[in-house]
Amino acid sequence: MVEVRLEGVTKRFGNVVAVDNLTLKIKDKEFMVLLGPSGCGKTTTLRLIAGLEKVTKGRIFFEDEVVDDGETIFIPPQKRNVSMVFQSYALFPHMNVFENIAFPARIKKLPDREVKKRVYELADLLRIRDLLNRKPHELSGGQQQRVALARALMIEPSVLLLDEPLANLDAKLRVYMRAELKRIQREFNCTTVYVTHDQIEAMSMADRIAVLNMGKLQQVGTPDELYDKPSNLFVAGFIGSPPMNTIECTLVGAKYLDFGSFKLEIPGDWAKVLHREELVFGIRPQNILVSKSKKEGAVDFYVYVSEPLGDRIILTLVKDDIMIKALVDKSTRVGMGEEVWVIFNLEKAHIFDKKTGKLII
Amino acid sequence: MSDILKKISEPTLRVVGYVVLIAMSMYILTPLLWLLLTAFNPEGGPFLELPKSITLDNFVMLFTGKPIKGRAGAAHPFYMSVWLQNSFFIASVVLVIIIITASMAAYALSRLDFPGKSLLMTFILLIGFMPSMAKILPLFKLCLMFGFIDNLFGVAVVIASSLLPTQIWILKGFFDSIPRELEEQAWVCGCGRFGTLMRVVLPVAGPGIAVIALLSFLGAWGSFTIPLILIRSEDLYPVSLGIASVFIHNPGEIGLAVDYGPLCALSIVYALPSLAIYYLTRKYLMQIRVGKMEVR
Repeated sequence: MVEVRLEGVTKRFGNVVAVDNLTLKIKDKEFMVLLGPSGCGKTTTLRLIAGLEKVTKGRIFFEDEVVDDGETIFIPPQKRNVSMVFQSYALFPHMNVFENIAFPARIKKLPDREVKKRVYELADLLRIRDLLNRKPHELSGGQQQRVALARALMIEPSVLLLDEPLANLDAKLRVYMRAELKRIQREFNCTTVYVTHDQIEAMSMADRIAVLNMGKLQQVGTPDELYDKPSNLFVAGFIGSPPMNTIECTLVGAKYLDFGSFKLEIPGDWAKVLHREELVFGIRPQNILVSKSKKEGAVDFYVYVSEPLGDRIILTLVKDDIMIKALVDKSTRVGMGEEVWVIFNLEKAHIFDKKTGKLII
Repeated sequence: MSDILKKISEPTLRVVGYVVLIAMSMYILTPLLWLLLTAFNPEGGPFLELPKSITLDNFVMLFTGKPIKGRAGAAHPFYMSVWLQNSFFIASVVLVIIIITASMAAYALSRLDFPGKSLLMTFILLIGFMPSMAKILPLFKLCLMFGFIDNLFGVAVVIASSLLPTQIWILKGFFDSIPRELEEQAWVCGCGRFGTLMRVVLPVAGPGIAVIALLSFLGAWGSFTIPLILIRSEDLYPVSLGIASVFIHNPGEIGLAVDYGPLCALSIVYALPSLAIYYLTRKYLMQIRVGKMEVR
């Protein structure tokens, strides 16, 4: 169990900058999720920590030891004592499940009795005891995933690295394994770095999330922090399902937000911090009130699409060239094309600077 | 009208097809049939004839090396078992050399990036394509220097070197089809590069290794020209040279002084390993065909 620190880490492949000046501290025993769209550098970051890639610039620390400084020091993956689960699971096709799980211990030449005991323990924990004699190709995706995880836990790793381990599972199994993984991580108490592009996975499992885009770190924080206070428009649009509505607007006389087709009066304390005119108004679909009857201060929209989810309904609302999504209770029965009245809960709304994308309120 | 024509013409075409096929297979199979019959015929000759009785004497003679009483030993029967041993020795040494060198070379070519790699690969391919006789003069000089003349091990080394380029290319294709993640997983688990090759890559590349083992064994087993040039003593001949020497030693009346029975038996024994190896490895051979091997 170690703390992992990345200091100003940059990784270039030719002219492509995969990771750009990334500084990140992963605390001991922490479940850290690297979240971002594909090609954002999250897998590269994971491979840098594993030692499968060398940094171009910057340093990586395991506790106080430098493992890679891009110049003279480079500790190869064999000596970093990390475990990794690849997206493809990378099970050895010529070995049965038992030998796959035992592999790291065999390399370390642990005594046979100890290896057996440990494999059986892990197999019980991950419910693959009756699969030990099978070959990987005889297993289902979920079983393969658990075997890969068991192998990663076979030795006590300094850091457990997981590269989209749930991506190849079907939706139902994914939800189940999400909870299992979280429980196992708590049980083993190992520093974990988990890469995913699925924000729900990130939100539900992580102690902290690091959001990456185009190789750059956007924000690090607990799931709640990211959800309640996204530091910029990218994070705001990435976290939450459906994502936050963002509407461009201008500030008029420190009193109104002008959206073109309608205006919103702003609370008094907002006026003090809003200095720029070009802004982006952000509000989560949950914080939009929709009613069929006209109300004081409400804006009229019409229903473009209605998507029932069982207990709730996602409404896509349109007014002129503005399109927003609202999440409403299923008792709000509205048909497509109907006119509705919308009130924005300004206490939970955000304002971003249009030019920099940074959060203002 | 045309329908009727079609119906009439169809079976006719099929009959013509069969006639052609039967004629062709007779042309190809008759010598083989002669070989088979003569091997079991106590009084075989250079003609296709049904044996009056069947005997295994010819085969026994191959391995005991004693000529059958009352018959001319023109085919040097006492050498035949030695020839078989020589061929087996050469093929085995070639097999071992090629598996070791080709797997390491192909692995390096498949996985490592180094300057001049594509040039090296083109070079290897070109050497493989070059007819071996084109380089025989410098090769002979080289063999003189190394003392490879009249030396079974030397012959094996030379044959291996001529077979190696193609085998490297085939095996590289197999290695390319093994996902890198398997190796990276092994590294993360603490396995070094050599350990990864031994524990993961080679076992996974099993079919590929089997294929090059087969091809190199058969290539060496059937090789003729290199032993012809490098081997002088009759007791060091491989089977290929031995069979040929029987005719070379008996000029004049073509083949009449040849003892056909043991020679045909020898030919059959000589062909058996090829067939056996094909039969044993056909599963892996099929895998090449479904595209596991990509020569890039």
